[in-house]
Amino acid sequence: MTDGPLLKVEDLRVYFDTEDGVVHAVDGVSYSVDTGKTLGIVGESGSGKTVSSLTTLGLTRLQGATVTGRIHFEGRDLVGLPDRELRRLRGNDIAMIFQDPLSSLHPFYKVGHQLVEAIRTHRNVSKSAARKRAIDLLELVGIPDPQRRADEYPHEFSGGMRQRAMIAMALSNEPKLLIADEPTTALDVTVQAQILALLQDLQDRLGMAIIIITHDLGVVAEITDEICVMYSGRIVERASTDQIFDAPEHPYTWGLLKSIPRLDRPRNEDLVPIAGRPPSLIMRPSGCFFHPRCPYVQKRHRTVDPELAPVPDDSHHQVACLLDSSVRRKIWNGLQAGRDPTSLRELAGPGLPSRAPAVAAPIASGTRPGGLRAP
Amino acid sequence: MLRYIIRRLLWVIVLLIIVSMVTFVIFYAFPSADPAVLRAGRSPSPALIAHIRHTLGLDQPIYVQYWRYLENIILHFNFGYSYQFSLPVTKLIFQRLPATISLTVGAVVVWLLVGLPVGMISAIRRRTVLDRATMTATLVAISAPVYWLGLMSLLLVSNDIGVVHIFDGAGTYTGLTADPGRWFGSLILPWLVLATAFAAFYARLLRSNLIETMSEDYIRTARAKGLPEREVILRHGVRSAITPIVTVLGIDIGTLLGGAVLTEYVFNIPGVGRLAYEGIINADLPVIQGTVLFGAFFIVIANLIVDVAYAFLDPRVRY
Amino acid sequence: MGGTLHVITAEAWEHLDPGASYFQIDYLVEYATQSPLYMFTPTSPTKPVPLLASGQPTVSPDGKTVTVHIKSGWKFSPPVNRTVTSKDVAFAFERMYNANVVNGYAAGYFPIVGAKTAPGDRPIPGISTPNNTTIVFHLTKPFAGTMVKALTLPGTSAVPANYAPLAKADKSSPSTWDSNPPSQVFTGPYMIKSYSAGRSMTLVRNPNWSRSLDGVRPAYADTIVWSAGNDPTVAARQTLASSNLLMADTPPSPVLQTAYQSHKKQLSVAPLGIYYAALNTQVPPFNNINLRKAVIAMQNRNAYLLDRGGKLVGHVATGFIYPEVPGFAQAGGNAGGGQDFVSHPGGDKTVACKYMKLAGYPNCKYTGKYGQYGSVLIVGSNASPGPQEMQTVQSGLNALGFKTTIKAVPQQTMYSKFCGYVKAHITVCPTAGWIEDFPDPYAALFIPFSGQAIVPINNSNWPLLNDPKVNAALNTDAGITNQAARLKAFAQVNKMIVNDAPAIPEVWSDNALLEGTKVKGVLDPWNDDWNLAFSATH
Repeated sequence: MTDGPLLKVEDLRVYFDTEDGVVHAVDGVSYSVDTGKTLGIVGESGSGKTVSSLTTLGLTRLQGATVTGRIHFEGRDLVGLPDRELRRLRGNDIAMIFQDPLSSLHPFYKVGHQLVEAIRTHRNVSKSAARKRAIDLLELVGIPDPQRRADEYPHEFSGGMRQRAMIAMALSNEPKLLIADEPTTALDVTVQAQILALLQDLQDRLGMAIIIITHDLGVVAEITDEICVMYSGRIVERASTDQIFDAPEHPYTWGLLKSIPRLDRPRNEDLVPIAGRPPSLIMRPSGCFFHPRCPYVQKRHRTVDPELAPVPDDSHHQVACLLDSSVRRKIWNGLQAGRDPTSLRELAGPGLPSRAPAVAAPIASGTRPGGLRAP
Repeated sequence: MLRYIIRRLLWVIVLLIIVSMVTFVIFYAFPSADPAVLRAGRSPSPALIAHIRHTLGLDQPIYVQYWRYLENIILHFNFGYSYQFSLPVTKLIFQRLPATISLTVGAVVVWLLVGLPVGMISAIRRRTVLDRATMTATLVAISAPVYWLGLMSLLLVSNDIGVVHIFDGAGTYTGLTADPGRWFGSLILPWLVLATAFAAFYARLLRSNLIETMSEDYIRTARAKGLPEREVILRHGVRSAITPIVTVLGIDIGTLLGGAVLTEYVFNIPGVGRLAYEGIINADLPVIQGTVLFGAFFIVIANLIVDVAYAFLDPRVRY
Repeated sequence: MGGTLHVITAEAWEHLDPGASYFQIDYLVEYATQSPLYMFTPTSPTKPVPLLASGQPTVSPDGKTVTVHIKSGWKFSPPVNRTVTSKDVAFAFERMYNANVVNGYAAGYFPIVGAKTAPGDRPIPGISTPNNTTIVFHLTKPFAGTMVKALTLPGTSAVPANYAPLAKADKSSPSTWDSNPPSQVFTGPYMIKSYSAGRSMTLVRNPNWSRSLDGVRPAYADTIVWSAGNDPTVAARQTLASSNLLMADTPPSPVLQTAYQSHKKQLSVAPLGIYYAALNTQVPPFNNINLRKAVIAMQNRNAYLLDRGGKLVGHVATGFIYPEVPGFAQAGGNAGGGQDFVSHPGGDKTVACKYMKLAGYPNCKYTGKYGQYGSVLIVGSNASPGPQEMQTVQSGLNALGFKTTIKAVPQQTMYSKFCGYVKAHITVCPTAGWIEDFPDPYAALFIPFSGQAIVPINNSNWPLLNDPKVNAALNTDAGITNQAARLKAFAQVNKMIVNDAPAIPEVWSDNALLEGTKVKGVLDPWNDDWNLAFSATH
């Protein structure tokens, strides 16, 4: 193992050539995660957060993606790695769990069998040894009576139990990095918290790095160390979790924060969805990609593409926004005070002739609308 | 499960009774020809016709005729006598079942061996030239009438009337027990001809199922596990995609056991299908009735087997 | 001499019990495995040759008694093995009248005193067997002239009397004697060794048959292997491509065309029978004889020949005795009797209008009444060339102003539910045809045209012609034993029938048959098919 972060993604770009045009799913993304740490990647569906992690596992290759940039994992660049070697990494050093555990488990195979398969793919152990380990793993993730449960089919499990089984499967080979893609979206509120607690507990015990991908900032508030906010294939803000919640700098992050209910805010405070829809990844907007939806848009935002750059007094806090830092902080303070974004618009400048915002769409990444949830 | 099977078997009986009633009404109440007349020839004496009508029970009201028919089947397993062959229908059917089974089983093997790999490769190599060419070919194969295909195959590659003498031609069928080698040789062309459309259909079916399956979340999981792509496709993809095909296969086998009429006809294979055909052209009502009932029996039993098998194939299904 | 003869057919056998057999394909087997009293042979197609009989029959002057002597020493095949006696012949006749056996022609051709179609076998009072080689038939009417011809039918083949398995089989209704042909008893050169219904049959030599005693059938082949139930196109092509196949039914016309063009040596043609369009003489409008004549005159009968395949398949018919039937020449040959309404095969409006005028339609357009269908109902086979023939008849009728309706049904249905069902009152049946049971004018004319032959169902007198003069003449002439006088008399009956205009004579049809390059098939012209006991392979 070399020094430096466990996973370091640099200038990752993933393009898909389709009949309609080139889809810029991921467009120059850089992030890293250290052993024992948790990174949150937050964004609406179509922001490229899932594609970037699938690319880490090499799974976008099969769909004919063009991948450039570098993905350093333990010093090796995964982008150029042959399929065979990449496959040895998958499920072994890097494991992944998915949003909907029911559809992510094979309906025709017993849960135990699916775990055994995961174990034996990477370890040359007997079936019975693998089965014993599978049962241990089920116990580790808190499934009662694992001996019996191992012989049940996924449809016989409850939603939370299924996600626990998925986690157990991901842990089969003691991965160094666990990527959890919307791990709680499909689950009930109380179960969500249990699963997040489980992930944190497992991290404490096993010391792996975790990347949590979610559209819901509330989910990641408690367990991440650092958060990347993605929009339209790019990272628009990257900071420690505390900074994202206390001093967010990007209007999109503000929107995300305002659209989640929080226990520390008055109950009667309105949840404010972000107006408009995520832009097309084929015909992307000019200038700042967020400008069509940004309440504080200025004329030059339509032509100038902002770079991800550190904020003046915190080199670890990066943001891609053309507004002046001082202006951003004033607006955030106003929003914190409960003011409406439209009333804060003049703080940014003369702005643009007002246009009716597009229909407000709930932000969601999965099958369930992003509704009420407790952080 | 046992209760389910018993319940289904009772339904099979009810269904067969309904089928027998419908065919009885169609062929006896509105016959295309008077069986007594057919038996007697073109200028019989009226006394003879009356005697035959009486013997065949045709002078009774239709419900009495039907009741006797049913009674004979249930009590004596007697499906009546063929007017044409002067033999019990059951004997005729059992005599011809081996040929039909030989034809069906061989064709099933051929079309699975051809159709499934083709479908799989097409699905994996989706949108390639290979895939497009295969899918066009399957469309042609599905649309080709089996009689035409049979005739063409004979005119091209049979060793009597073919342009190139390769395979045994029509009318060479020999029983398996009589001569296994000739049995096999005589069935090669019929198997290929009968299997063509099915292979094409199964290839298309598996292809579309597999394409759909390969976009399932659990396939992504399998890949994320680090399984080799081969195993992802075979153990996870095909395993799911093939399940609906088993259903279709069961019905197809049931249908073919009822007789692959055109293939049997063009290759002169003495099967149940040709028996049914001969029954129809000669208005041999007991034969028509018997073959229809046997066909229906095979289909409903195949259906039952498929439904039971489904419970084993898809653990989510329980009865 | 020797070798195996391979026969191939699309059709399969129906009834191989000699007492029940009544079908062209079955006859091929019967004349090879059984021995009727007499036989029409390829070399004697119009005069019966004694087979089991030792000589020509003796007929009493009143034509009501027929005496036949049979050869002594003729033996049944194994397992019976015993000598055939006149009692076995008598038993064959008893069986034909046993309703369980289901014989279709006995009552028509063997009017023996006291014979009655009924279930079970019983002695027939009108048959006596004074000794083991003599059998005497006493007839109810002077019918000997016809009966001696009918003694060639397979039902006259001796069957072993007092043979337990046969007696048992005949107790069932219908008799099960033909369920398992290899278990039957044979008197011909061959025995059925194996049989699979609708599929295959093997004939082998009958060890008890004596060529010298037979004196008629050469029986060249040692074995005859027959494959039935073949696709006709495939079978015909297989025959053309083969050296050793003999196809015993009619090839489909595309293959026939090929054969005419490039395999002429493998093609044999025999006259088959007659096709005609029956006009119902008992319901309007064709209960008017002049309308019938007008319709016949108007018809383009050449079109019927074209519908069936042109000159390859026969001639335009002018009467109801056709080329293979004795009496054809006496009836005028191809030209026919010279009646003006049949002398213009292309159709003649002038003649047609003459008869329309006689019928009371001076404008040559029919304006009168119709029967229950409100128009002329034409019913025919839906299989080619049925639809074409229906259109041909329709266009002729329309030209004379008749309203017409066409109904196409399967051939079997056409006979059993429409044209052969008297109460259906079908006006025109253009796809009817007749093949005589044996080569004699009585067999060609009686059933199709005698009023006495009309039966309510399965009627074969499709025009429902009931002309007392024709009926009487048929009855009288049936008894004529002198062949020359007989043929002359029946030519006269033919003329009477043509004059009654009961049907539009369409085609005297030929039957083409195919054989492999090294087969020498020999035709039985009267059965329009091969005779297997005369055919050989090289």
